[in-house]
Amino acid sequence: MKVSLEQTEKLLCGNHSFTQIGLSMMMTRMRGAYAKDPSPEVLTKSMEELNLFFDKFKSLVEKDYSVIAQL
Amino acid sequence: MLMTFDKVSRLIESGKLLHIAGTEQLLRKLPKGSWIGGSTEYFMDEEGGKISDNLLYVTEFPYENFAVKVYTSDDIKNVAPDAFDNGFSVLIVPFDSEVHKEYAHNAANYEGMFIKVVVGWVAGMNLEKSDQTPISVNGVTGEAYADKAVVLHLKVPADKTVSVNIINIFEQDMSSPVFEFYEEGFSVRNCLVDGKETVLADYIAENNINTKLPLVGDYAGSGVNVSSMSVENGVVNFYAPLFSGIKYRMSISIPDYEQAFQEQLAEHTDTELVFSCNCILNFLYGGLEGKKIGIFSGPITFGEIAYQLVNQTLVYVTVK
Repeated sequence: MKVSLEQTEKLLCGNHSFTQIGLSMMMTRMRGAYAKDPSPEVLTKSMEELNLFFDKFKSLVEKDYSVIAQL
Repeated sequence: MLMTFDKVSRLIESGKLLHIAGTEQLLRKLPKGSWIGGSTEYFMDEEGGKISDNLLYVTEFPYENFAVKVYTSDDIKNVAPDAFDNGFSVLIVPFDSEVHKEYAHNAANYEGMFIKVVVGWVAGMNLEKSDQTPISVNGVTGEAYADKAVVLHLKVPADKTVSVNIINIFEQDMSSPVFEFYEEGFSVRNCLVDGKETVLADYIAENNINTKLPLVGDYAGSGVNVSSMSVENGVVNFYAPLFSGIKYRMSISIPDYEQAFQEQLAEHTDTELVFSCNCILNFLYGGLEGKKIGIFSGPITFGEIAYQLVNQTLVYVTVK
């Protein structure tokens, strides 16, 4: 379950919905941060954090990851 | 489950690792041991909602590796870095303390939040009694705090995954206008209602808004509630902060809280949970005293923590 930089940018600029509360809250925070500072550094950090999250919680987030896989 | 003081004392003395919720007076008298605690006199147990000043709600954790830490408003930002990589942390915060406010405002931005699992609740008191103080308790030292958070960091076996979940019976009413807040915080005067600058207190009065229903924020598909506490002098006070960048709407109306919970709980009959808490506002507004809501028993709380502070929400943790 890997998230690319391109997918991350689409997520941060989009309004995709998720079901897992931690992911929803984290995405909301990331979108706010990227809206304030749409820099490569913020984008890369967001991607890294998303990948950490999906790697750790892969058994819980298959449905939510399917939204990202289609981006 | 709910237990007498003597039974809880024996459990502590037998070396069990415990999370204890109960009245301030009893928490202060419990023996030292491997436990953390927080104050409330409201509970949901297997027999239904209860108010008690002589019983304690006990959750036993079957884990060997743990740490109990105490945090102030200055260092609560370390709660996620201090947590075990594979585990979860149970945080108890006294109502209206500085650490409560700091956590409510800033938790989403703490290093490691959402990668580490942080759940918990806001400790309160019996609303009919004037002589109680919300406290958190470090059972290892026996110290009780009105101004500090106590956290039980738990490590779970490497082959297990921890999941934080919420049951929120409230949803955004899509016929409601969108509320946006450029002034962040627990208290709000001005906001935008469908883009129009509005004094929120005036809007509530003019539209006869039911303030027992929360505002529901859209967090990337998950609804996160903010419950109103009071309207005073043109200012609306809430039990959690409102944030800029979030679109809030009024909640749908809930005619029967018990039924609303039961409908959501129907899909959880085989859920094995290790921790659960539910909001005092659900207990009171929903008339949950004496009513059952399935397997989701635990303390009734003055704010719930599912990573961030939430309101009028049932929070639970599973370890699978």
